[in-house]
Amino acid sequence: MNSPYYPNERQFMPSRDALLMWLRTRKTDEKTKPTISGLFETVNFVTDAGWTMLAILVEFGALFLTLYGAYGLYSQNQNIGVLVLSVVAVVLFISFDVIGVLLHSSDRESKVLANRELRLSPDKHRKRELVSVINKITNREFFGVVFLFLSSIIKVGAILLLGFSAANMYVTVIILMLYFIVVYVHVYHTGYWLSARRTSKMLKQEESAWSANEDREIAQPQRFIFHSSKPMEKPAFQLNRQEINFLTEREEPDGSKSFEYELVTHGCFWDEDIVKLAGAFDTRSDFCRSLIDACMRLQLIQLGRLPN
Amino acid sequence: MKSNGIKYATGSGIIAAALFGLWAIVTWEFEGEFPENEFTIDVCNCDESVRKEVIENELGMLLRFIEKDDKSGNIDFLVPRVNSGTESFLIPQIGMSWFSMQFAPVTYRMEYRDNDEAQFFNTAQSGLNPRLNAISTSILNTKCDSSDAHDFIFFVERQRTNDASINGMYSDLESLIRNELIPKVNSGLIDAGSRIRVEFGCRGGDFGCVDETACNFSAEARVDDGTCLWLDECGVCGGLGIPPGTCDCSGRVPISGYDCAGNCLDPTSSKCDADNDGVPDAFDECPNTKAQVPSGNGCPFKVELPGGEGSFIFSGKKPDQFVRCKVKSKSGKLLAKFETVNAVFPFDLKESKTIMRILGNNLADLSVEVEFIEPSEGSVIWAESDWKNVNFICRLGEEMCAFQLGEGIMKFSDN
Repeated sequence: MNSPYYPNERQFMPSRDALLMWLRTRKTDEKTKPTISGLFETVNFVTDAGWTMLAILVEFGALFLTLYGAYGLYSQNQNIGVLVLSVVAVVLFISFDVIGVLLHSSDRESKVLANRELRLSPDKHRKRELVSVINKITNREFFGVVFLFLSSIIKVGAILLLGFSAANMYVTVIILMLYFIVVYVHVYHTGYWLSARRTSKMLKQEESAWSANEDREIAQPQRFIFHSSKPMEKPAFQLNRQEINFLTEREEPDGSKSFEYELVTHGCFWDEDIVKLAGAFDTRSDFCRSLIDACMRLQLIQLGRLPN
Repeated sequence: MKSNGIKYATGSGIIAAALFGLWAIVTWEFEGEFPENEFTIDVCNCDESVRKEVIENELGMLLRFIEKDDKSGNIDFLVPRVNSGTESFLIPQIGMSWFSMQFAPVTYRMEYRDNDEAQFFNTAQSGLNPRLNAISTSILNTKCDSSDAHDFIFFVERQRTNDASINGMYSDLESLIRNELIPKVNSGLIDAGSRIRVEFGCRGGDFGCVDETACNFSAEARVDDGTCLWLDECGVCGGLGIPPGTCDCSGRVPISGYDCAGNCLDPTSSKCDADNDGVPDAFDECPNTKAQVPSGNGCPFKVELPGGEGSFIFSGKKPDQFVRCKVKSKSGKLLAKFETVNAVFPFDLKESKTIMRILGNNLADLSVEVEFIEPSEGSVIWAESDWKNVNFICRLGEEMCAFQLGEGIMKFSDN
């Protein structure tokens, strides 16, 4: 899913639910690339989609082997129980897969938000709490993985008992490893891919509904006042949908100066907007750091996590 | 992150338990008594060169055979292949295909065959002798009776020219395996893709005839298999006796038209002519005497004058045939010609008077020629002209005249 994520991005503002769903998609890896701890971006969608398709193909292999093997056994012994067993196995492992993927990805937005707060919070005690939240395996994540593993074991059992009954130990281990890899794919790719699909769908649907509405409401620009110890050296700056306006200059009691600016965004403040905006200034400057901080806070305001 | 550790441990436990369950299900193997004598066969159709339909057909044949009430006989089926590098027992083995059958008193005799046995018995043949004379594995109910005991154990018979020590009875599968008595597929003892023959029925002498009066009585048999035989009238054990259409055990057949006793089967047939005179025995009044010609009643044609005086008596003619008597004078002149259907001439007083009226009272030196005539054709069947010097005399006081033999003189009686 690449930008523009939807058309009319200046006038249209997605709903809060769509923005929260967006948080579940894959963000730029902070460990390998300096980032702003992304909120409104989706990266590596094609990679996730590819891995997910591969996993689904392997899943279909299990489906085919189970049903075909069960039919073969049924042809031999006319035991309807074999067919029932195979259908139950198929229903179980598909259900466990879906439940597992959904459960595992359902707590991701809270961790993304915690990560953003970690970047902004000056309180060390709060920072420790946020690190704990980020690193903690939530119950949904735990049971999601457990369901995925159970699903893979059901698949392997069904294949060995129904579809490949004469498999030896080597074949068994290979099949087991294959479906454990599928669990990894579901945990680290399928959840992101599915969230991106759902986000994209929600955004496009909302935008379509907004466009079709003759009385559509134009999104009001959102503003955030921030201070910098260094001036922007321009009275105003505009890039795409964002504006920076100089407001006042103050002298602090210690003799230092403080410059007040207004950051204005039209529509949703995407992560790539922040990158472009920050790129217009010296990234090592104090103003740029203040600007990035303001951008991240403005995103949280749009999510309703900070008061306007 | 204490809670994470608990979750890791719990998750690992759940997954390990699930894996153990999976392992238990996949490797589960039934041990102990077979419930209700069930018998399992695991057939792997892992070889793409053997189509699944072929395997199913082969297995279907085996199962149909197993389901028969009468387990005698044998059946061939294909030895299934397994994955490369693995070994698998043919029977018994776990699997999803379950089939029910009764064991007692059935014997399972397995004989592994191929076009060239040496090809897949090479491993077992290592040693002095490169070939086995025979190899077989039998599994049977040692009681071999019809009881419901179902006490079946493995019996192994494996003949080797240099080692017969492993022959014997084995009550557990492990010892069979240890002695390599149940060939494993891909183990070198038997090749996958070979054909396997399973013969059902008690081994050798266990089944047989237990009736001492039978000619094939077996002292070793414990179960009567209904094969008892008895001597027939020709002394053959289980024979069918004198074959139909023959006269005796040697196979002699009767002459055409006659029974074995020589009796003619159809007396009216020309074949039934004992005296060979052309007259079928049914119409032959003298069946043992050959007639001169076949047109008469079967007796020889004969003209007699009993005692040399009296009436001529004709023999050999049928009742409807008549006799023509030509009476001639000594000089050969025909004096009279008489015809009669009677066998006696003259037959009665009337005929006698007729002769007398024509010839006269007494007449000497006559010659009489007799012809037997077929009335329908008027032809002469047989004739006799030997009667010379015949007199015809009519004595006083006697009603009937008579013919008399005498040369030149008539003889009259005293009265």
